[in-house]
Amino acid sequence: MTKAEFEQGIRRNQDKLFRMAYLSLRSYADCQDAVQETLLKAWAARDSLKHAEYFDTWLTRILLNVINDFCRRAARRPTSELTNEIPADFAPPDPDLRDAIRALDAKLRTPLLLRYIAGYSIGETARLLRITPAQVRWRLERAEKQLRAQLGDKEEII
Amino acid sequence: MKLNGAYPRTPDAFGDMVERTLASLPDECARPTTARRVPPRRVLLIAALAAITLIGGTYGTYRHAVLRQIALTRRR
Repeated sequence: MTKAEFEQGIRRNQDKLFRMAYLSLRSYADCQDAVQETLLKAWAARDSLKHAEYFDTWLTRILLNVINDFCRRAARRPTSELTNEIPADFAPPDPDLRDAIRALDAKLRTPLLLRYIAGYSIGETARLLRITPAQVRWRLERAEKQLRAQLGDKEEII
Repeated sequence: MKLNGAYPRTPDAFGDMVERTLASLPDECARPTTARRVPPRRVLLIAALAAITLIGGTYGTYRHAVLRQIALTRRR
C-alpha cells in the first residue's frame, strides 16, 4: 500500500474515526490521542493488510483496540474533560445522549457505535467483533433498552 | 434507531491534526523488522520430541547403569 492510498483511506474514514472515538472516550483530548495512535499503528502495520478493499474494517479494528486500551488506562486514573481543550467550531452532540452512550458497558457500546454511527451491517459488526450476528442483535437490543431507560423522557432523541 | 443528535460534526482542528499526523508519517515503516521470528509449530514439535528423546535416553542409560551396579553389588 502506497502512502497516497493510505492517506486517501484515512481521509475517507476520518469522520467515522472521530465519532467513534469521541463517543467512546471521556474527553476530546483522549479522542484526538486515540485517533493519532490508530493512524501510527495502522501505518506501521500496513503490510499486514492483505486486501486493500478491507482497509476500512481493518482500520476500525485497530481503532477499537486502541479505544479498549484507553478505556483500561482511564479506569486506572480517572480524568475529567477541560472545556478549554475543545475547539471553538465544535458543536458537541446532545450531551445527555453522549453521556448515556459513554456510560454504556464497552460490550454494548461498541456494537451500537459500529451499527449506528459507523453504519456497518449486523454481519460486518459481528465479523469485526468476532462474535455471532445473534450476539450482535442481542447486545444492540440491550444497549437500546439501557439508553431508553437512562434518557427517560428524552427518549425521542434516540 | 437513528441516534439522532449523536453525530458531532468533525471539527476543523481534528482534521488538521489528522493531516499533521499523515504528513509526519515516514515513507518507510519506522518499526525495524528485528523482531524474532516465531518458529512454526512443526519445528517446535520436532524440537520438543528431540529433547524428550535425548533426556529420556540419557536418563534411561543412567538408570540402567545404576541398576546394573546394584545387581553386581548384591551378587558379591
